[in-house]
Amino acid sequence: MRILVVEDDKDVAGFVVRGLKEAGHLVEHADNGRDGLFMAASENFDAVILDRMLPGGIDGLRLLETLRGQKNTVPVLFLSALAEVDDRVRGLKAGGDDYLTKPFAFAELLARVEALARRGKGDAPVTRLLVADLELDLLSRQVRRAGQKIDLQPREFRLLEYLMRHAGQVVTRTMLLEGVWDYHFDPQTNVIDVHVSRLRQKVDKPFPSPLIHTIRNAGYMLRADPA
Amino acid sequence: MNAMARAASLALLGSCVALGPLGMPLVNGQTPIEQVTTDTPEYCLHLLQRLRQIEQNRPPPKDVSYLSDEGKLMCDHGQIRAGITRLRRAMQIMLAPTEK
Amino acid sequence: MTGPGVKAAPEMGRQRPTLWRRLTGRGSDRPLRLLRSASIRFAAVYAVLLALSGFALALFLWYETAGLLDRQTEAAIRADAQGLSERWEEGGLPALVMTIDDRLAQNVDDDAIYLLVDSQLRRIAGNLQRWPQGVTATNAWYELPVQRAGIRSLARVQRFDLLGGFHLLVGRDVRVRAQLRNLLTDAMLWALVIVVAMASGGALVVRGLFRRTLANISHTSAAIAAGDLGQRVKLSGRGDEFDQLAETINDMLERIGRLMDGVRQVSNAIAHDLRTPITRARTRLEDAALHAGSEAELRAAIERAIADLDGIVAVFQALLRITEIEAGSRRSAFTAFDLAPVLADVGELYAAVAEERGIQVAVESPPQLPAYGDRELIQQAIANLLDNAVKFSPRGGRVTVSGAASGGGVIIRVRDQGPGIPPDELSRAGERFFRGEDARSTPGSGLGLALVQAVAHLHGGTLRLDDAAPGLAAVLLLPMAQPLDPAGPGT
Ligand SMILES: Nc1ncnc2c1ncn2[C@@H]1O[C@H](COP(=O)(O)OP(=O)(O)OP(=O)(O)O)[C@@H](O)[C@H]1O
Ligand SMILES: [Mg+2]
Repeated sequence: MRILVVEDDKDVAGFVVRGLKEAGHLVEHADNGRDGLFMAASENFDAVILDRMLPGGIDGLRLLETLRGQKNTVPVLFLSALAEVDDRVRGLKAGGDDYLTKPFAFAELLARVEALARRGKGDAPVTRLLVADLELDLLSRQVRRAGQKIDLQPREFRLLEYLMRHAGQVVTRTMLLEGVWDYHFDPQTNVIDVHVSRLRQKVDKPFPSPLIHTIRNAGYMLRADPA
Repeated sequence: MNAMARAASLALLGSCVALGPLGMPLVNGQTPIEQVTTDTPEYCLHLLQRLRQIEQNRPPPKDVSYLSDEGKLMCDHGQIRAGITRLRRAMQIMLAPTEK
Repeated sequence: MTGPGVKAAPEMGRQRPTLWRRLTGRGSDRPLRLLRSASIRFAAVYAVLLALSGFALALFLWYETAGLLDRQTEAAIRADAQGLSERWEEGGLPALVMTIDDRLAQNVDDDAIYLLVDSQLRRIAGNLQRWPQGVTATNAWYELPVQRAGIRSLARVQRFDLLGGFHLLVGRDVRVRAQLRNLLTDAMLWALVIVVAMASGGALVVRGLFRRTLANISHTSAAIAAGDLGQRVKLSGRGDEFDQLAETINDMLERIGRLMDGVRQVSNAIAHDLRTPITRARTRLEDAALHAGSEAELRAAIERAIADLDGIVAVFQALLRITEIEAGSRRSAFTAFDLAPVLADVGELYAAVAEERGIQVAVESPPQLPAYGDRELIQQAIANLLDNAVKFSPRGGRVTVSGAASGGGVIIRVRDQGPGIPPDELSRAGERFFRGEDARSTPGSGLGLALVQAVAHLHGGTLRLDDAAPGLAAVLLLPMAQPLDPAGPGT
């Protein structure tokens, strides 16, 4: 995927660019708002990682507003040290698709950017999700694995749905908390882990090969091959 | 503050004083002052004579003769203006249109 | 009068500009200083207003009385002249002469002035000796000095021209009236002087009042500016506007004091509570740098240090969040929402963890529970309470989360069967970084209840910690079920 990183801090930018390249992405970097806007507007990216406070007269918000003003719908993830709730709200209002505050874990950034970039692709409404022999019907709200019906609580159903929609991608605990519970705070205790392990009990335990994998230092991933 | 109030008050006081003889040409100065001729003993006499003339045609009421006597007396004693006033009052009564 | 203008100490002339200079600001290093003083401005406005109304009243009275006298005289003269001209038209010269004589003869008031002259200005009838020189125009009023039995007097006259070259002068002796008018004018002027004097005196009083009322507030403010934050504005007890102002200021000071305490707590916390994990992370890294035997060992140490740093960041974030909430800026995000699903969700989120530890979580709530506030924050507050309850509950315990409507607001209660908080710690449990003696072994940083308390305050509510014997009952009271006035709740 082609990803643009607009970030003025050399260390952070270098770290992010290196990490994204290692993850197999094509990365461009701009260290000020003006260049960032130019590149974002003139080239096609799958996602943009955007710092909010930038030198060069155009800050992240202005950049994004200008971009959206030009009907550019590239997914944008804010990466900012401005951590107040209002800052977050402002960023999302300006057209941001996600907001990650500094300091951040790279795994979190990577997972979110990849999720964003993929979401930007096929947006056709689906009624059925299928991963390997796991099948989730959004209309009848039924889950089957290897033809066998699995009974899930509503929340477990939504958790599985989220994992399946992001099949093959790393999903972090905060992403789950935001995406499944719509919570935007850190619940201190490892509540998510417990919920995932309960889901595993129902979806993976009775079957020979597990689908839900734990990714160390990052989160979870639902995928078919046990590689 | 007082200075402000004072300035304003002075200005207004001035305008008040100026308002007194407002728009009235004053005839005075070098021109000799005019004499009023109805404050003289002559006029007193003149009034008395006129009164007597009228009284000949019609007998005067008691207060008229009293007034005219008094007026005459005062004129004689130099209280001209007061005397004239008495005589004028007597005259007024005598000349009043058709008494009942 | 203000002091400085009167006192003429020579060296003061240099230091303090003269009154006039102060008023105009010319040549002064402190231009218009005097007018910048609100008390003097108020007093000046008072004085000017009073003086102006005094003037208006005096002017009105003067015009109505003195003016009336003049107008009466003029009307009488006109009527007189009108009568005479009628006689002239009816009977010609003899009739006119006779009428003038008659009128003079009956002029009891002794104020009539007539003079009829021919074209050569020779006198025909009347009681003036000669035609006065200055009287040249018809239809104009003249003030004519006359001599009456040796006494100077003043007459108001008007000239009328008759056919055949005759001129008629009709007038009135206005000496008595003029005297009366002068008397009136004098009285008015004196009245004005009194008004000005009273306005000045009143202004002084107003200024004094103003100063005295403000002195209270400015003393307090000065004391606070000098660092004595404990000072409060004294109330007069009258409950007037100034008392209201004083109360508002005191409320403000109260709030500033609380915020200052918060800041102090936070800086203390950074100094003490964050020093520990930072030291730990640093030690780990340094230890690894010096002693790590293998790459795997090094990596492990680094990863642990990162986890430590993440913990520090989490504490920071929690602290900042509390500060943000306490600043009250989040009030703009208030909305009306249903609390029942919020309770159910939070309960469900923690139920799984609780179950792992053999603890039961029960949610008791009416099917609908209208509330008003910041949904996300209330969510987090309930989560924190539940987090504590689950954390401190013994195996096999039971945690109850209940919500109920209460007098226009909502009341949220989280009850557990754990050890509870000892009475001497109850009041401090909501402080930032406070952790009970028995809580040292559990994970946490002591910011959970502080955030709940901040959320409660933001909503004008309270957090109460009750002894549920056994266990703790945390009661969150949010008094608003619908928007209040825009000013928001006072605490
Ligand atoms: N339900 C409870 N039962 C017993 N003690 C409690 C309970 N809730 C709070 N406390 C006491 O109050 C202290 C402060 O609680 P608070 O939630 O603020 O901090 P914490 O839970 O220790 O840390 P954090 O919430 O930041 O993870 C706790 O350390 C504990 O001593
Ligand atoms: Mg807690």
